[in-house]
Order: sequence, then C-alpha cells, then structure tokens
Amino acid sequence: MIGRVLRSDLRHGTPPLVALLTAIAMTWMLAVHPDAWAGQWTGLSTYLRVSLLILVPLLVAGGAWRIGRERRAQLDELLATTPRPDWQPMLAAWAAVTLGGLAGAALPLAVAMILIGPQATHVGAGWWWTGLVGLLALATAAALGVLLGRFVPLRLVAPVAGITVYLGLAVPIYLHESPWTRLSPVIGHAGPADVWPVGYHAWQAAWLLALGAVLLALASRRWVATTVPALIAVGLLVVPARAGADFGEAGTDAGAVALVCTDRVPQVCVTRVHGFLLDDVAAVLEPQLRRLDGVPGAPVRAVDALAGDERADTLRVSLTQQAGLFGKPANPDWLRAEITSMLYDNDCPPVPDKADDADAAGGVDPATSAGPAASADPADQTLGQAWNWLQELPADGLAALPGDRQKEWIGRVLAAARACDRDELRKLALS
Amino acid sequence: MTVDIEKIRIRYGRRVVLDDLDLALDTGVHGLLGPNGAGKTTLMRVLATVARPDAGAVRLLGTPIGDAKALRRVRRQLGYLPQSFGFYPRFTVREFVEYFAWLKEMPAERIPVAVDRALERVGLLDRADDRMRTLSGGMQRRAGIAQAIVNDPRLLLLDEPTAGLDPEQRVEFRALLRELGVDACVLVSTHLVEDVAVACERVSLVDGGRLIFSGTPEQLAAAGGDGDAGDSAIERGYTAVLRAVRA
Repeated sequence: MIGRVLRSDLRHGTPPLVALLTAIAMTWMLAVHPDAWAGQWTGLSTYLRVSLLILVPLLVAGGAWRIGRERRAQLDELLATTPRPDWQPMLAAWAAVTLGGLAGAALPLAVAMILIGPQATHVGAGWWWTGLVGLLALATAAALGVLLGRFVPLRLVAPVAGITVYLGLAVPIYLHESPWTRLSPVIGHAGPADVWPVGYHAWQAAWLLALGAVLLALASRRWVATTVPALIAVGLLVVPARAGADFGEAGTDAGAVALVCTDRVPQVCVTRVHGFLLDDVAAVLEPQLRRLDGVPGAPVRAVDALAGDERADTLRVSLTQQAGLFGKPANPDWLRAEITSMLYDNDCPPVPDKADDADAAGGVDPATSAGPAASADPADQTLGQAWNWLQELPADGLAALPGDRQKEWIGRVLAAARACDRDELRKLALS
Repeated sequence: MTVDIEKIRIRYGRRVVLDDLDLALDTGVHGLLGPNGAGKTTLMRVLATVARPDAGAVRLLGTPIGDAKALRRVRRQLGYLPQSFGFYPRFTVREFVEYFAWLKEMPAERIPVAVDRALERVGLLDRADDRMRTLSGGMQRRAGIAQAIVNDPRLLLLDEPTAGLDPEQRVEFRALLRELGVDACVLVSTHLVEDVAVACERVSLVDGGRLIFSGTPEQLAAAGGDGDAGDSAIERGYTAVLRAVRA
C-alpha cells in the first residue's frame, strides 16, 4: 500500500514539481558547461556535485513545501484522528520529494551518460562514489526541508529556506582551505583529473546519512530516535577536525593524466581523460607545429597542459574547456590561438604603466583571435607581429622576408619573450 | 456503550465550552442539535480524540482514552468528518479515500475493495478518477463522508454532513445514515432539525456546554406546543426545550 501512497504523491503536487524543476536545473547546468563533463565519467559525477549548489536548495524548498500540504489543505484536524503514527506519512512525503528530485536529476544525467558512453576514453576509479554522495545529499536536503516545514508553519518557509541554504552552500566554496567545508556536499572547484580517496567519500556518505536520519527523527518529534544518529553525526564531525586542512583534498588520477599521443611527427599528446579529442586537437596543432619546424627554440610537440609536462620543446595546450557535447572541441578558435601562449605565458613581471592590464605583456588575449591591442611600445609591436605570424594572419613587413629569415626572426622573438627581455623585443621590431 | 462520557469539562480561556457534560450512545444513528456556540463541534472533537477535556472521563468503544495504545486502537475504528473539511485538490477521489484508508491502518489487501464500496455508498464511484478540485461542493462533502466510512468505523462522527448537499442527495444520505447505523454508532451534528427527525433514532440537544435533552425525535417533537416557533413539530419541540432551559 505504501507503494500506492507514494505513487499518488509522485503524481500530484510537490514531488512532480520538484522533479520538473530539478530536471530543468540539471539540464541547464549540464548545458552551460559541457566542457566540464562531456566524454568524462569522472567529470560528470564531479559536475553533479557542482550542480548541488542549485539542486540542494530546490530539494530543501520542495521538502518544506510538501510537508506543509496538510496545513494548506486544512486537513490537520482530520489527520489527527487517524491511528497511523505521523512519522509514517512524513517519511512517505520525504521519500516522494526525494524520489521526485532524483528522478528529475536522473533524466538529464542519463542523457549525458548516453552521450559520454561512446566518447569516454578513461574510466576513473571510484567516480560513482562522487555521484553517490551527490544523490545522498539530495535525500538529506529533502529531509532538511521536511524538518523546517514541520517546525515553521508558514508558506514562506520553502522559498526562504531554499535561498538560505543556497547562500549557506555558496559561502564555503570561497573558504576552500577550511576542513569544515568538507561538510558540504557541493564541490566548488575541480579539475578533470581530480579524484578523492574512497575513505573521504565514505565519510561524506556516512555524514550525510547520519545527518538525514537526525533531521527526519527531529521532524517526526521522536527525540529518542534522534540520539543514535546524532551521536554518529557528532562522531563523524571529529574526523575533519582532527585530520587537518588536507582532509578531503583532491588528488590526481594518474590514469587520467597518462598521455595518449599521435604516432606521427610532430607529435601531439593529450591526457587519457581527453583522449577522445586527440584526432581533432592534432588536426589543429600539427600544421601549426609543422610551420614552426626550423624555428630556433620552437616547440616540436604539443601536450595537454593537464599532464604537467614542463619540457622546453613542448607546447602546453589547455583542453579543460574544449570537450564538446559530441566529442569535438568546443572552442577550436581557442585551440588555434593556444600557440600564441608561447609569447605571453612566460610569467613576466608587469610592464610599467600596464600593471593594471589583464595582459600586461602585450595587450593580447591569446584565448581570442582578435589580435594584439594597438600599442606604441615597439616591444608590443614585435609581439604583435609574431602573434600574427603564428596565427597565419595577413602579415606586415615580416612577409617580405625569405622563409628562413622569418623563422630565424620568430625564434629570436620567442627567446626574448621567454626571457622577458623587452629591450631585445624592441630591437627586433620590424619597420 | 460505544460512547460513554462523564462530566467532561472544557475551557477556552475563561469561557467554559463544555460544562459537566454526560453522554452515552450505543449503536444507531444519533442526532446532535444545538444553537451556534452550544459546544456541538467541541463535543465532536472530544469524541474524535482531537480535543482533550480538562476534566471528566471519556470511554470510546469500551476503552478509556488515555495512553497512546488505547488511542490508536480506538482511532482504527473511528470515522470523522469535521465541519470544515479540507482535501488535496490534485488527488483523484479514489486516491484521496485510499490515502485515508492507509492512514486508518486498514490491511492493504482490503483497501481497494473498501474504497470502491465507500465510494459506491456515497454515489461517487463513477467520479472515482476525477480530481477532487473538479467536484462540486456537495460531491466534495460526499468524498469526505467516503473517507470517514472507508474503514467501516464502529463510531462515526459527522459534523454538518449535509451542508452543500442538494435535496435529492440529502434524501440519499439519510438512507445511508440508517444503513450505517445498523452496525455502528453514528453521531450527526447538524443545524437541520428535519434531518434528525427523519434519520435519527435518538437526539441529544446541547446548549451552553450542557446536555439539556436526550431522547427520541418523537419525544423532542412532543416537547413543543402550538405556540412555539418552528415549521415542524420537531422544530417546535427544539425551540420549546431551549426556551425552557433558558427561562
């Protein structure tokens, strides 16, 4: 019979609304950042945890609204005459909201998994733990909503609780150093190769379960039943307090950052987690590397920056925002512009009078193909001319030089840029 | 006795709502009459185990209302339709009654049959899959009666059950009351004296929180005379008893 009660609840009222809102929120989150999860199982589970920033407040508001249903329907008195202990309908309400939320999130996640399946080139260990903790967090959020709805008999409690919880989850994202932020199921920052120890996931799962049980026991006013989960929850709190700041810090999945390379020259390598992008990345970078052939000091290979390969002859290419929905690079223009990073990503000290500029070295945003900003400084003009050459844009005086002279000039510019030698750059300016 | 209450007293602040009230009811249909503010609804709430008297003893279905176990046992055999009846607007009629059958801890295997039977008795079986919000006020009231009788209660408390029912439905409802009263103690609180005259075997009249009359509808009718206000004999009897007490 409980199945029929749940079905009725799931068909009418708050749970289907929670399912709809959760589905919309999850779809929106997935749609705005496919680069965070496309082709990556770990990325998807981590991104679910990022999305909890929106989903958890929704579930809290949903739980609070659902539990106020009897009050809104003016059924309190009638229900008070029924023999079934009130924690049972309350648990059914919580289960319905939780199932609604999970179903709403599951649909877009299932579509994402269908897209990932044929693309993924790496299955990290324990990625499903990350997702499981996320799902538990939704159940705990619904329990918090139920508790608030039971004790604050106002319609406003649902939206106010949702907004408050959103703020409560958003703040710890900016307190990354504190071990107490590990109490939050929301992941604020994560890279594609970040993994957490299984023990940490297990601790978070136990913490969320204990917290959920405490919230539900409190909501049902079963004070004795609150004791055991409350003791467990408090006991679990000791773990991050004792473990220190590195508790729950993400490590790097060695398998994810292992390199997958083309077997041609010039070689292009991506990390295994980005392996599905290799052919398209190589198609963009290989001609650029070939063009650099013969340039003194120029890179002879390109490697996914995620691998941490610091070799001098290597062009490091960031692919963290390149994963597209269907396994293609999402921003090929950015990829083409990556080669210009040799000119600008050299950790040079800010140029006087340009210290406030985002691109102090030359007024160029290498992530765009818009070209260098106009500057009267000959050093910047040199960098701009080199930028154009690397981008194969219509050139200036440089094009008039023979090919080997062009490459020699580019080699000298690269060396000066790496050395942050603006005087040398000024000398290299072409008329 | 199905209902046996002795000298119960309830105060709301300084106002005494029920004052040393005694009442004993057994199987059959009983009417509860009284003017507005007489204490009818409070008495119904006491019998529905929602309100607790400040003093006095309440025994329902032979069980003193005290500990939680006794309360739970009594509530399984209780049906109640409050005066202001709420519902879940999006639920279908069947889902609504099913939900209350579950709340009344009916065995799961009995629920589908019991729900259909309750809906049939109130004439809503053909609207079972309609949403509650699409029903007329009278139909919603009948759905309320269906939830009250779904568990075949031994004590059925109906507070203004005929409010919103059209004359034809009221006639049908009176027949239903008589049918229910064969096996259960049915207490109907109402302002409609003629409903009591037709459907009830006994009638109780309260005023000022006290029981001022208890007897058959015929005895109530006989208490009135030609000079008393009212369009029917029982209305005149009702007016006469009230006037005599207040004199």
